Amino acid sequence: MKGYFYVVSTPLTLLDPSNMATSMERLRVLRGLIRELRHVHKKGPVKETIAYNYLMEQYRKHQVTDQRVCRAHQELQRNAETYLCLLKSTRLQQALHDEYYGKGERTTEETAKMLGFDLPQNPPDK
Amino acid sequence: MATGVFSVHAGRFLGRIFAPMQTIERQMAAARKRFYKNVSISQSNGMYEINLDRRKLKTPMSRLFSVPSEPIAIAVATEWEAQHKEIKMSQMHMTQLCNTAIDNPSKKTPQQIVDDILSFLETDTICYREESPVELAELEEREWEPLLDWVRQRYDIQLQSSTSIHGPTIPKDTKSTLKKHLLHYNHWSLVGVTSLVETLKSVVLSLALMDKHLTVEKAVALARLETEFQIMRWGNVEWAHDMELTDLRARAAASALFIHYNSERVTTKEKAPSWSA
Repeated sequence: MKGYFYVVSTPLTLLDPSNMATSMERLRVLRGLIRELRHVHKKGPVKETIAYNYLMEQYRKHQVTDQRVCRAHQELQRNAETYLCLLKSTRLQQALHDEYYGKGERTTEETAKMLGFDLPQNPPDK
Repeated sequence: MATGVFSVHAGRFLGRIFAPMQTIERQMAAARKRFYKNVSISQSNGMYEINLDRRKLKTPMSRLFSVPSEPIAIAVATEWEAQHKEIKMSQMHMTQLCNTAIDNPSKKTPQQIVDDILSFLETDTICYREESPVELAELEEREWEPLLDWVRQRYDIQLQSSTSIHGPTIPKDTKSTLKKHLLHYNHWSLVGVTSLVETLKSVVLSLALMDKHLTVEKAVALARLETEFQIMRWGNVEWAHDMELTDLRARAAASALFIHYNSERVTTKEKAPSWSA
């Protein structure tokens, strides 16, 4: 989590209350991106992903500016949100697919349960 | 049956771009296992290439995979990094967009691509209205009419919605104005626009997303308005509704980023030191 704390130490200009919402939003998206990148790279630290280093560089670059809410900030934020949506939706899509279509043939009972039905109970033969 | 429904659906979607049989065969064939350990990016003449271990990534038509934008290359590399045991091409939207841009399998000119995009206007979701149930008609009016106002104003065009089964009539001027606008985009960007319009089934929503007037989530929600309405009434079915939702979001997000990074001009400049001569 070390990289995360680096980003939190924001310059004084960005701690201006009128920018608080934007800073919070930026952090939320960045945290989300890091979480998604962890899924991408399960076998090692997230710092080993190419995307992580690029993202950190972008966030750092757009902190070192004395303009409060400049266009580059907004663009980074928008692109970061879109990329987060891409990563998350792709992962969820795969998870849903594995859950519903990736398990081979289901038994009649399982399928019925999926649709909210119960199979009729056949009385035992006498 | 395991790969059945989803793969065929993806196959039909890609059928517009690739030869249908080829695509379905590729989807149905045994999935390739991940054969590489490391993914890296290398630069060559201002273009970015993807390396899987020592091998350079190639397109389906065996061309060198080479993209002009660093963020896109990184997104593609991330897709390849994210493949765990099997390579699931159907989830690799950035890679597929790049492949289409590089290979241009349909061999279309920009004019043809733009004409194809604008032909969606006649059945644009935003313009194609329901009359009943009344609640749905009102919902569409509330949610979609502001989009129409926006696009009319933004592009100075005439565009009406219609409840007729034939859909709205699109004035010639409207088409020519939008055509002129879209032809400013390069080939790569147009590949992204095509994908976006096909995903959202709407030119209006695509323009709104491209102009950053909407977020991806909002654009997809508006594209799915009727579905959302039915879900509110009848309940959500995860294996159909959620699958459609995440699929649309993933495709729209990939397309939006692809368009943005292929059409942006560098706006940030280095601040010149005050002592420069």
